[in-house]
Amino acid sequence: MLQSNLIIQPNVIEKIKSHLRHHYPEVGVGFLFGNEKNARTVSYAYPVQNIRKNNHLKGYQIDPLDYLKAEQFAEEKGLQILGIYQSSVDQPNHLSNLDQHYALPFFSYLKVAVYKGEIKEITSFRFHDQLKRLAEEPIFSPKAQLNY
Amino acid sequence: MTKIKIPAPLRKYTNEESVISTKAQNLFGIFEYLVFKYPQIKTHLFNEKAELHAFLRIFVGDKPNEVNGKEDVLLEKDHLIRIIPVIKGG
Repeated sequence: MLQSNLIIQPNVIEKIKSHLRHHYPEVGVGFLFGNEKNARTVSYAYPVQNIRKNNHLKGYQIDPLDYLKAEQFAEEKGLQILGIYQSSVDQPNHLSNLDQHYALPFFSYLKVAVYKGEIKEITSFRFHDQLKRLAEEPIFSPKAQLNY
Repeated sequence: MTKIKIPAPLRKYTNEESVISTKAQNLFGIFEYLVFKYPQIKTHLFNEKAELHAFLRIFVGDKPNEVNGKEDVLLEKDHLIRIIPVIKGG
């Protein structure tokens, strides 16, 4: 079941792609910021440290203190934390049991598949209140932005 | 008054309020007040055993609560409680 669109500004998606390419083969992760005044629009993103120790398992975890800093940043800039982005390293953007177990309401979970350092696929998911699980949300973006 | 900071993912259940003030002087009292005032938030804070969800952490001020909301804590006046989501996946 598809949800409403996630709009990502072109400079933001380029920043995310650049970060995750350079972070390969490690899993990169960061926060998405923006607003929902008319539509959910991501206007800023920044990377944070992936503190998951078993990084070979291709997962991620964000330090709670980094979340606190992200909230403070959002308040200072008049933005909202809209979600997180992460790379799927050498694998497609599927949802794992861990993703579903730790899924938070409201957040967009943007996954970027990186194969051998190259971006191959960008997909976003959001918690669906009726389904009680993450479901895909369409990304609205001119073709050029998602041109890998 | 003590205050509780609501994380962005749960604000849709508090009418977009980010800070809730209460006269409660203990952690469990704050939880009770929150659920009383915003019943929709209950299932997003607690599981069916009435335990705080595994994906949430409680901070008193800027420090993590050692027992993470499993035991009650007396609070000082003007203490700020934060609910911090555990962000994990992949």
